[in-house]
Amino acid sequence: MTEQALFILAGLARREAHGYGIARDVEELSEGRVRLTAGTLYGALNRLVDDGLVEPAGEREVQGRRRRYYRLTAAGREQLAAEVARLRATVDVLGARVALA
Amino acid sequence: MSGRVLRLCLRAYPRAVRERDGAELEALATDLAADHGTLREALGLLRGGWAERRRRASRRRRTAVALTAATASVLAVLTWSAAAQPGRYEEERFGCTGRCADVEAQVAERVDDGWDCTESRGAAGTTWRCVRD
Repeated sequence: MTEQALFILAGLARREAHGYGIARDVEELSEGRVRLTAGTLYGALNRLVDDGLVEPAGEREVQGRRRRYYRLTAAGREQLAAEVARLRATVDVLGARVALA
Repeated sequence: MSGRVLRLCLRAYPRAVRERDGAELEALATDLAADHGTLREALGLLRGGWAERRRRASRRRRTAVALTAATASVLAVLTWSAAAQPGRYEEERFGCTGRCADVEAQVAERVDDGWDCTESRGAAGTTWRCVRD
């Protein structure tokens, strides 16, 4: 899973969000390191929807504009938890090696 | 100006995507352009559009390959099954010496029924070989 996809899943873990909300959340979560353009976000969201990890959650009017909302599916939540566990294990192993050096 | 540039870059996406998600993409790009600048968003749309076109072309290629493979498999099964099925070919032989009116009438009946009959004349008389698939 790409870093962008992982941050998008993490951004949706707390609540449903529209594209702009996801982009802002990803930027905040990654402390400005991952900044998504509309093109990148659209492609990544479509792939996540195709993979069944994210699903559309309808359209709502926000500040006079129709926004399409997305939410995490159960499979998406599982995948996110699995990725986080994998990263944590990797960090533990690498951290131990760095401490020994 | 910014809106026009973004709308122009949106044309990098296939028409079907523009018709379905164009308004959403444009609104999102406009919001993000206010945060990060129009140039970055414009390039993002161009890259995203080209990637989407590549993805669709590759999906079309995969579908064509799968269809060809499926058609070839069906043809192979049909060919094998036709070759393995015995008894579809029929053959009858007729012969006579001297007056052959009765036999000729039988052969004529076969020909009327779609049989392919070949006549051979020899010292021993006349023979017909009739076959039908």
